[in-house]
Amino acid sequence: MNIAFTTLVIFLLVLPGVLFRYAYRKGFWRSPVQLGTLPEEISSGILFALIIQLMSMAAVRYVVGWEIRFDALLVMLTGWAPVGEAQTAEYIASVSEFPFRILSYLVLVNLVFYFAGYGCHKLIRSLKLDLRFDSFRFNNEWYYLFSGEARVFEYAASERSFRAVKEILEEEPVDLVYLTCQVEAGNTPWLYYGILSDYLFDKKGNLDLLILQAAQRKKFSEIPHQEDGAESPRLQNIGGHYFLLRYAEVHNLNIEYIALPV
Amino acid sequence: MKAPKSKLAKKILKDDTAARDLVEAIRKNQEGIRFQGRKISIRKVGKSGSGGDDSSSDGDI
Repeated sequence: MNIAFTTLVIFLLVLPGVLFRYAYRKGFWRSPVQLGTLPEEISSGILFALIIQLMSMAAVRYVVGWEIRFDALLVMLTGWAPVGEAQTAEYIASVSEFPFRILSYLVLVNLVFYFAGYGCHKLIRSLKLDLRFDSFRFNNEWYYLFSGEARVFEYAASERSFRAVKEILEEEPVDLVYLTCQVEAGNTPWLYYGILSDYLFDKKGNLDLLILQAAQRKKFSEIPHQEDGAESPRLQNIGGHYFLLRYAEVHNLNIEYIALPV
Repeated sequence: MKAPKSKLAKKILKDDTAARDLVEAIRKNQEGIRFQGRKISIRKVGKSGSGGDDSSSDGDI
């Protein structure tokens, strides 16, 4: 049994855990999943895969009646058979006799747990568990900030019941998000104002672009001091449908949630 | 990802002048703007009290 085959077997066993975790964290958001460190990802992937495989094997055994040969699986994983060549050949035969069963098991488990990941994500969001409990919060802080859901986090965890969270969000729905960004252009600091239309992430999951509508700007130095009593100069309108601001160039960002009650 | 925008906000943003007025009004803490003949109130979510015309203050950040 060569090392490539053993690696392939491990990969196939761990894959459902990886897919489940990916789908759970990604959900229906367009932002890419932010990965943790490699040891974190591997250890949690293996842990999830172990749970998933045990559940799946038990389900297959009781629902379809297929027997999982753990001894054969162990031989494939380790490449080592303690009982001689004849027994090894029997283990290999037990695998090669049922290629359709093995293939359908792998495909089914991967598909089921990929969609289960989305399902769990949706369930957590529907029950607002991510807003109620910090341990369920997704690693997508920009979404919480820009959607206005971050307002909920101002309250203590004990005050964040399902009803309380719903009331906070529905009592004052956000009609639009108004941004003020301080940006350095050369050595001159500018303030950019606008309505947030969209925001995009780079491949690593970091915030990359802020897309503003009705953008305006002025030099930071033009802000009058209050004691001057001077009228704030009218802003320079930036023409065009959308104004793209690279987040890496933004020094400070102010977010205001605006309601437009009729 | 899309930022939240209500139907009314989308309507206002389609009108270039109204959109600029809206941005200016928010910046200056004004109570509202006129849009298609009606008054649209502006309120900062989670803040008590009305904005009022606060153009004397800088209202920048």
